[in-house]
Amino acid sequence: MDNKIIVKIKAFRFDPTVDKESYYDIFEVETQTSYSVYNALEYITENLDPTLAYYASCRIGACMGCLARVNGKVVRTCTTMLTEDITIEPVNKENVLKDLVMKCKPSPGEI
Amino acid sequence: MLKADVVIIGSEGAGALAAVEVARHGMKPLLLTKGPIGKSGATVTAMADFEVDSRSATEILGLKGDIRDSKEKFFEDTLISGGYLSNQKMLERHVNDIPEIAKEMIDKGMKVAEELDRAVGQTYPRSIMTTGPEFMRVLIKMCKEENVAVYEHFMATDLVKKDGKVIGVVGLDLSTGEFVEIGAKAVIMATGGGMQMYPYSTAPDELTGDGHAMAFRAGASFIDLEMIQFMGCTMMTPPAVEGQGFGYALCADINAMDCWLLNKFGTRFMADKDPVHKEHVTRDKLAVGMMSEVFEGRGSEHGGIYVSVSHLPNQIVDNFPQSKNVPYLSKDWEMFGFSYKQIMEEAKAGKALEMGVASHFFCGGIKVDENGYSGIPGFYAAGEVTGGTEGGNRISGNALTQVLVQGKASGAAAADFAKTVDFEEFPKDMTGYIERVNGPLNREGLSPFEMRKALQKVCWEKLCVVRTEESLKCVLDKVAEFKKQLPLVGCKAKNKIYNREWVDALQLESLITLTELVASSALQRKESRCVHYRHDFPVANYKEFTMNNILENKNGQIVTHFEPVVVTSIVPPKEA
Repeated sequence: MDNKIIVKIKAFRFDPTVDKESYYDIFEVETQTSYSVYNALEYITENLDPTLAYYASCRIGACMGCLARVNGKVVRTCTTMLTEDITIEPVNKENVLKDLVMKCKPSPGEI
Repeated sequence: MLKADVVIIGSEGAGALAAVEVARHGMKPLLLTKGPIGKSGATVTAMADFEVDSRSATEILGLKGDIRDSKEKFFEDTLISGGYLSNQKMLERHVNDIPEIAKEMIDKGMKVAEELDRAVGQTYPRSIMTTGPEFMRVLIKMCKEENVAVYEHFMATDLVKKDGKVIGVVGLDLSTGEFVEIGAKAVIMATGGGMQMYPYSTAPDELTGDGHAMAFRAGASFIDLEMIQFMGCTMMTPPAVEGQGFGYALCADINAMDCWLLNKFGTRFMADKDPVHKEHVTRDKLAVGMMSEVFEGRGSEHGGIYVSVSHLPNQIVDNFPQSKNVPYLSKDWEMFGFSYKQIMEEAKAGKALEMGVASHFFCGGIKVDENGYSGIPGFYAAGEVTGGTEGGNRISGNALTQVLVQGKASGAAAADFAKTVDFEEFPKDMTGYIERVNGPLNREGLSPFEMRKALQKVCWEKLCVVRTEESLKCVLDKVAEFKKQLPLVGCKAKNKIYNREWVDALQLESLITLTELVASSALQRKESRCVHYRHDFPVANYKEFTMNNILENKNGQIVTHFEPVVVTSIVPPKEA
């Protein structure tokens, strides 16, 4: 594909079992035309750091499972194209399960 | 130990309605889901229509349909579309139960289009148009009303059996990394299809056949598992839109343009295969047409085919998204949040689009009766993880009808069964169950990501749309190798909370099991019917194979045989 460039992804990290405080890691990823933030997250866990946690499901913009804060704005990572350096954070930093994944209801809770 | 009267694995279309029904029968349900409810599974991605006979839709639901239709005609259309392989007792419930369920969901506030659409294969308009998220919004509302409990980020890994009966579920709590045991009087499997066997899929990432694998280990039987529907003309590039149905809307769907599907020599192959309909054929014929070119060495660079629009005048291409013929396509070429504008500008200028097929729906699955009962006491299944309703092919919209009807039926049956039994003690020695879960985390070894990709490559090349005895035997040889390697798979990531590599390792085992089941089934059906295409037996053989392909687990070994289809009213013809 066209327009391959390397971009930096600054990713929010927090594992409550290990970390006292959150921190950021920077990953370098090669992007191209129509390469999504979701594509990059998948690439990072499968090739650079398998401990990075994110949630995604449908990849077609329908399920709203992959919401994250990219450069401060809440977006679907699967429909957000990666065209430049970004900072990615969970939707709500106060309610993090791990990294970009939010806590769900108390298990097992009522819906 | 955590307990619930009826545990339902999978929280979306089928599972959610099953839970509602369990609660309404006075039993306590518990929904388990790998993701958050409403944000996982295939239902929410449905495009989304569901089918009700046009007469009931008009008279009971007050929608604009055609009252010449009947439940009997809906039954017949579905049966014919599925190559006469449907279990007719299940199909009777399919057409009879849906109007009442649809009425309740509309009464609960589900927004639907006033006018019905007509899907290919349906004699009358039967498609009630809504969206996947709207459909799930109402089901979740119904779950809330019944105080249904849900356990999110939970990956079930095994059914637990005692004296031939299913007595509970075990699995991994992804939020803690702990192995969890859950006692149940009955369990309903509602995990959906296993589309992630293939590298290109229209389905969500987590549909990895966990339910099939758990059910097989518990001794359940399968029916017509070779029947996997592929959507044709899905995108192969760029990465963000892999597997998406944009191309199908562009080239093949009801209101598509006259695009040309070309092989690597530039031959418009569909015009040769079907001079009348050309590219505008049913999904099964489109997928077979495309992948036969690939199989015979005339495919594109990435293993698909080329699509040309540059023979069309610019106005025709430019007007296509303006026409509103494709409900999900914006006037500016945007579909599901992706802009195809640049791609279409390049296509107009002469660059061919590369398109392939993507796994879309499992028509076969766990063998159940019309109540969702598997034949194993305490074990039920509903939705796409089951087979028997659709037979060998699925008409658009019948998936959501199937999940609703089976969800409700299995919920009622499982609750009634749960009333007759008590909770049982789990076995003292749970080592095998625990090891299945914790093994990959505790080991260093082969990468689950790499293994999954290797397995998907085998399925793509040898178990996709076009199959032969040779290709299927090759899959089984490869599966034997993968099974040997599985105990060597280990995680580099050692964190316990939400470890994707660990989950992928567990899903890998499901995918390997499912691949073996599908290939074993496909080997037995020595004919081509509906979505199952054998290059070495290219025509349907109604005399010998209008039968259900049954796969059983005999002491861990796969044993197959054919059984007569369940007939209530329409005897299958002796010839195609």
